[in-house]
Amino acid sequence: MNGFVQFLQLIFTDYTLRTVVLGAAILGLVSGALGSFAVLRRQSLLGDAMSHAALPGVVLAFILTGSKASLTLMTGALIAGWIGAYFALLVVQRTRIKQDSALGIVLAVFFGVGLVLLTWVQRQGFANQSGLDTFLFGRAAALIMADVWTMAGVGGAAVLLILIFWKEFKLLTFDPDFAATLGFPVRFLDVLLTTLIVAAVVIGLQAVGVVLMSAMVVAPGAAARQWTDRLERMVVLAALLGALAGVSGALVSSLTPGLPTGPTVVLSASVLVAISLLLAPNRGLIWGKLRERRSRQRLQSATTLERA
Amino acid sequence: MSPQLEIQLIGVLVAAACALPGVFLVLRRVALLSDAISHSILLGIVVGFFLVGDLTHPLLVLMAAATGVLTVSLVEALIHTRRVKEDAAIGLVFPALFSMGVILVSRYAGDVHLDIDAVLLGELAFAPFSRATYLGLDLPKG
Repeated sequence: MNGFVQFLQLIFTDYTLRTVVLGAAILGLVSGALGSFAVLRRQSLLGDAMSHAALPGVVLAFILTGSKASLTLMTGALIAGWIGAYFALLVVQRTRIKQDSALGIVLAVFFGVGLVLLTWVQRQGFANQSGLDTFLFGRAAALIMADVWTMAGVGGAAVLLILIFWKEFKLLTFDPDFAATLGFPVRFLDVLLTTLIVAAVVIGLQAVGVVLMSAMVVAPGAAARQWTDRLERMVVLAALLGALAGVSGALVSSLTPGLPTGPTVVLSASVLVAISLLLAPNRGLIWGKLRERRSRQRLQSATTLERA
Repeated sequence: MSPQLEIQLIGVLVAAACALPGVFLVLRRVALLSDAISHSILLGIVVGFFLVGDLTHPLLVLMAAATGVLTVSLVEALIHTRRVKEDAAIGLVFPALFSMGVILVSRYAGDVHLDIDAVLLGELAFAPFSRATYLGLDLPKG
């Protein structure tokens, strides 16, 4: 118990731990809220594709400005990710290629270009280029307070926009054709919502990295979906579950030596999904099995009575 | 045969081999399953390495293939529950497996073999480059 109190004190006094926990919490909150829309719109893998597509933007931003400031790299990542998302949208609208293949094409092309640029930068001998590749894998433990503020700013703006366009996004998610007949600018809303998801991905890149960011978009939304059928509750719950995964993952990894933060956060999010899939009321798999068994017994007793 | 030609030949072979099953992935609308598999096999490679302690052992390839099959089975099982859609199922499975791989590497292989960490992660994430040059350099040896 004493150790636990000491540990709680450490969260508020230890700079690194506090920064990482705060960063992970904000990341989970924002990506959970926006990820709900991605999951409902069957765009779960948008996060995966965009986190790869952001790479050329990160490297180009560094080449152009020579700075590795988190805001500079994030802006580059946001622009590249946004262009990638827009390409995917165009491909789906203008060709017969489906959403998943379009995302796959964008992912491969952009990531390839990013790697070419990254290799080129590394050969040019820029004095301070080392560490650019940490943007790929993420270094949550290397977050500083300035990064957290940037994340909070971008994430806060994204959440605010969701609140402003709540009704429109809700309509777009469930019935885009109806939204179009009502005269809503569906295309604009589609691009806006996609942009917000890209923004959520980009703020997480630095913390958990390219590969694991996709999990932070999908997992909280998929977990929250099991507990409720209402969008409001789902988005709030996804944000809370995301934050819970972020905080618990960051704490566990800080308690155990040699446990990297990003993967731990993803695993704790996966555990939350597993619990939700099994135990959530109504949609939980365990209750489903029980219901099945009970109705089979009822049917059996009914047919037995009929025969008798 | 010059190394340049070897690298290009390997590229051609890999591309042709991937394009054939790729047709079915695209038609079944699970194109990103390939992305998922290519990430999650890290876990298989790491476990295989712990079993034999040798990065060039053929068991590593077998373990990687087994993890690939595991990935697809888990994705199919999740879709079968009808609680999540195809895209979400893919997005849930591979980050979890990949995370386990990364955690195993950094906990048990991080201090002992730093280069393995680089090979495993580097080769996976930098596949367009490292695989070609790595294999290209390796071929004359084997």
